[in-house]
Amino acid sequence: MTKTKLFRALALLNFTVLLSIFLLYRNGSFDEYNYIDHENSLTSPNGGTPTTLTKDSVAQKSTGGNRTMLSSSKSFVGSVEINVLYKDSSNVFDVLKRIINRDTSPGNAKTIKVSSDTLSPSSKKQKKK
Amino acid sequence: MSFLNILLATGVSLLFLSLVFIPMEKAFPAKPNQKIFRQQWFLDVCFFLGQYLLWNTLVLNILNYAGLWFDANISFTLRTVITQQPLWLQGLEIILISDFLIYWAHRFQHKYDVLWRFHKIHHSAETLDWLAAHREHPIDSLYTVGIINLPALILGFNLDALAVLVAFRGIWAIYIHSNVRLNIGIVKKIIGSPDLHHWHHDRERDRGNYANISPLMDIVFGTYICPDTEPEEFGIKEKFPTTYIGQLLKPVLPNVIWNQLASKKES
Repeated sequence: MTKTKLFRALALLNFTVLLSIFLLYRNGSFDEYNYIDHENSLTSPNGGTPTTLTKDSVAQKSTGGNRTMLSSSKSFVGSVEINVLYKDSSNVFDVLKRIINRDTSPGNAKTIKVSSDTLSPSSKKQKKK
Repeated sequence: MSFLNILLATGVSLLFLSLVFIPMEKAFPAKPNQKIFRQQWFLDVCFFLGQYLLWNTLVLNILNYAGLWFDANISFTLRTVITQQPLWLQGLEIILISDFLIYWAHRFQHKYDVLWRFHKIHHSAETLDWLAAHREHPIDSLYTVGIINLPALILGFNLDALAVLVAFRGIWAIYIHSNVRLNIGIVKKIIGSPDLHHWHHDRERDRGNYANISPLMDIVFGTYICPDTEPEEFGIKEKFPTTYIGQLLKPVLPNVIWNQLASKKES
């Protein structure tokens, strides 16, 4: 196999794997990575919200504020859920951040928790149960 | 979420998209001599950051308010009937209706000057890659994302349940702009491909391939083109500002004022 072919195969593999991870993430398959620290009442280093904010309370706060949108033809702009202005990010690629940060500080864990609640459809299904 | 977190998420998004698309652009280049840090790459980074840090949230919040209005005014019975359909049928319906609407909305963007005024920012990119996909005026974003989501907003399709489909279409929309030429055979007639969309970005304003992702509507309405080669040049024929602020301001300012500003700057 020539170098070019190997490089092409690796690029294709990389593309397929990352795309699959992203789609799985959007499907809520990484929800098990959620970290919820019910005992911790410290505030986030990036804001004043207590980290004991549970999934349910987050959901209540954002009721009516979340709606999945189809994307624009030209960009990724719409392929996210709507959230109250600057309450949550419109970016959906925090999957990497989630995996990397699973054992990190409560502040980051809180961010992950909030994001997953609003971004993952499967977590919504679980909540209904 | 604090602004710092949004900034971090934006950075992670940029990194993720780079990891997804740059190796593909290097391995299967449509234009082999094109560099990663090509002409106007910084301008497109500005558009990327603008979208992620500011305009996305604004556009989506406006649409959310529109959605709330529809929620209050559209028949609950109709929506119940729609959301009780099998998921695959909902997926098929949302794709067909959205593609139909966006096809015509996009065609109008090229036909009518009032819409082209905003849309040409996206077409002003003379080099196409995954980053150039983000070059889009916020008003153009509002128009496009609004139209494409109209059926879901009105009819109440369960987009949460179709999250994978929504996500795939979102990332594919970036992929079709990338500097990639990869033969995927008949699949490209179903989900589209960069070579089709590159022809849409030809310097001719009405070259064709207006469909969002699947070229089905282009085939149906006779605007499908699929030459074997890449277009020689991308972009638009007129002179256009090359700064972020300039590109944001030009469509919203009357031509007289813009010309005055331009002549002052030149002098």
